[in-house]
Amino acid sequence: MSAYLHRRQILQRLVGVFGTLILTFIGLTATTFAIGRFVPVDPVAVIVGDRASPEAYQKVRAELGLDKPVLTQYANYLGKLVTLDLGQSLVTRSPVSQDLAKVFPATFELASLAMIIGVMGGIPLGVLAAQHKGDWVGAVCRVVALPGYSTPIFWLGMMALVVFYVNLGWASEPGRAGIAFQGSVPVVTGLLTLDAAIARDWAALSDALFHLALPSIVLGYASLAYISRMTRSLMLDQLGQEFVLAARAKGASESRVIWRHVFPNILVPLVTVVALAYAQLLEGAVLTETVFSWPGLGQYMTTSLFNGDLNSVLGATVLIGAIFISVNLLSDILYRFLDPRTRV
Amino acid sequence: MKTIIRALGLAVALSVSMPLTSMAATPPNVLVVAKNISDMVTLDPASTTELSSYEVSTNVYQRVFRYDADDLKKLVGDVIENWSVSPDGKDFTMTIRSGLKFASGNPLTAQDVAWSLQRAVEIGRLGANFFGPLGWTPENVKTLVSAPNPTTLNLKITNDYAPSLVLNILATNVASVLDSKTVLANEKDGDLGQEWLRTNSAGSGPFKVRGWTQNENIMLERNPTYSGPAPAIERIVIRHVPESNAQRLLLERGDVDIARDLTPDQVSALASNKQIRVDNWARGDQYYLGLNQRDPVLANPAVRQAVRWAIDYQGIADTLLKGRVKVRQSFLPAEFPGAIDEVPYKFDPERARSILKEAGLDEVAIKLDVPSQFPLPEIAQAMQATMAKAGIQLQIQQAEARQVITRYRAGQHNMVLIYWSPDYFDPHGNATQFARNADKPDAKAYTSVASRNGWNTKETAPLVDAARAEKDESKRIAMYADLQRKVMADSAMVFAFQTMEPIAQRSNVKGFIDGPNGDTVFYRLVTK
Repeated sequence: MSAYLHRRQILQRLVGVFGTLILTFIGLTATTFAIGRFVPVDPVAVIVGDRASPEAYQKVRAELGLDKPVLTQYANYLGKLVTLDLGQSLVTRSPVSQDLAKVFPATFELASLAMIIGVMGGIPLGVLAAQHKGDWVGAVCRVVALPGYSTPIFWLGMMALVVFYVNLGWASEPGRAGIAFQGSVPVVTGLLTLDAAIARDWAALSDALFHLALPSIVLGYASLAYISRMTRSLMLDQLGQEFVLAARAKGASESRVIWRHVFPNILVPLVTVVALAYAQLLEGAVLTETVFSWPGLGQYMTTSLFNGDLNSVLGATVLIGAIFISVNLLSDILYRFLDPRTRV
Repeated sequence: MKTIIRALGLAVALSVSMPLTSMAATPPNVLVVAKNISDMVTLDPASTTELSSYEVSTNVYQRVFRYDADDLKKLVGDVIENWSVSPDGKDFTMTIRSGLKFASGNPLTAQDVAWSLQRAVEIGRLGANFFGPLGWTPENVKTLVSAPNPTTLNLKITNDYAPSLVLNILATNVASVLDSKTVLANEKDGDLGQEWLRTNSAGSGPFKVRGWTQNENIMLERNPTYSGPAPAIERIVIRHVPESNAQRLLLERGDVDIARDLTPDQVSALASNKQIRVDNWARGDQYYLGLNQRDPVLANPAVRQAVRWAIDYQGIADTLLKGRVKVRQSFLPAEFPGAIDEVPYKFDPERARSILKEAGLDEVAIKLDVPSQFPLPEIAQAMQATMAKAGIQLQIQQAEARQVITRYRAGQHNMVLIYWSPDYFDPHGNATQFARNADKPDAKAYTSVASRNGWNTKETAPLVDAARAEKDESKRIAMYADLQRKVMADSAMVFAFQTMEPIAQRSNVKGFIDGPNGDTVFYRLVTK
């Protein structure tokens, strides 16, 4: 009986998840499609130039299917989306899915490294700040994080370049690879570091890591600031609870109180914080990618937007939607492991 | 805690004791250029309309004729040895230079030239714009453009075009000579190789395309089969650097040799750096105001006149933009054949106000569309301030360039501040845009800049057609002077500035040519 119930609940949940997924996607594409239609940029002019003869103009307009009614265009788009066909980019002339497969790894590589820095630095810093609330250590912790959430990140990036690249010469120039390594590594996964390792090209690997360092530290610092702030306030909430007093009264050491009694309690909300921060990084930090000439998703989307490349913008939006939904799903699953109460 | 502090201290000590790295330098045989190349769509010369791609074409293809790097003012046969024209000016016979080879090793023949021109017309993009007026259509081009043998090219035109004008049109990017065998070997579904040529090259120019990664870089390498003197530089890497501050940092550190998109402030900040030299090149791009004559306010001749006296031309050029533009009031850029250097208007708000008063106008309000692209918003704001003194209230509507152009194209603007770059090095191109309306002035379809602004050209259009057909070159050039004066005296287009482009480069870099348009940007003479 209970096994049957259990199965039924899982099934219900699955149906719920997929229902939300489909509704979210329809909402997402419909909104983006509508905005794309109302943006006063003419995609035909992007291709033929603004001096084309009326005949050349009409020819391309028909080629793009823009002469059909908007609803038909949308229906066609959705039909193709089911088969994962995101259409063709107006600018690059290649399938949008192929373009995304090219730019997303760059963002993924940067975002993941930044996230590791953010989590590894942000959580201990937040815990430390909570533990030392009111004394100078706590103040230092807060001051360290302060510029991370109070300064625009592109400015931080620019300053980091001026100091570490121009003045000190410790960091690499903006871009994903040095001149000697441009396109030198065969593409397997699209992740330059991994591809270089696969090719056993250690010089290319160290060049890729060198180029990743500064942008990922800058981005990582910003997430570090956010994560440490959230960790601190979550910790402070818990530290005021009676069970902490009880643990201390029992004579538990301070580190035992913090890491065994308090920290597990903030894990669930903390996972949400980290997941959202990661999802945001994966969207592609537009300004950071611009400052560091990083050919990722953010830069691809802005360029497409300015070029009136509707298909690419739509495709990238769908990808971002998918990222958000999967990161949310992932954190949902993690809850089950972290919080026994959510297990049925 | 103590451990943390100790670790931090160690890290700081280590980093301070690390020696400063020496200045980076690019490899001696590679030229690295920082540029925003997000505009690049295709490298196919039959379809390229973007500046960045145009420049690449110029360096990888030979053309029928060309204004070459050695002397930008002199038209020379590029693949043509000599040519002659029939007395009626309709039949051209040209001999192809011997011994020319494409990068693939295939010999360059008259058939390749004919095929390339036919292909451009059949594809219908730029071919329709440039060759269409000569009378070439997809239907007739195979009979009008032919190659009876490997060294002879016959061209027949059906419209009255001066021979010098025809040669100038054959010096444009769309007249690039393609390796027909290589292109056809890469053809897909009868696309005449368009898909393949989007990212590859099949030319005989000084360089060939080695690879293009969208939004990352484009690499060119020396073409060993080029018939001219071999370039000193083996490889050119044009890196996509969208942020101009980042371009400056790269240049200062020596990681790039040339930065192409610096702002005036960044350029002046580099003045004290001895390792960097800034060359200023006059470009063919001009900034002008388009006054839509469908707007009754702007259709008033007094308003058109007052606007011309209410711009502080010199102040904007010298003080605001620090030499990034120079004053230019005629529709041809300086140093173009037939260009006149007259500057009849200066900033005189009282005069502008009294012109409006005489017409019974006290104050007029006008909406001005401006692309949010340097330096147009800056110029627009300066114009807003000075025009207010003359009683003209400008309401600035700033938007992304493509949005403004879409509106402008459809004739939905009131007044627009925008740029124009000439299609080719002949006065006819601009004359036909600014002084000729092929259609009714209010036609919706785009025919010329004059038509976008609803400007009636019944007086100037016949003069444009007459100049186009004039076979006496000096007479033809003189006719354009007259046209420029007429458009300057009164029209819907108020020309104000010509752009100057600062090219910031490492001081060891020499020989980069940044001519008036994408047709004349050359890398082949660069040394470093």
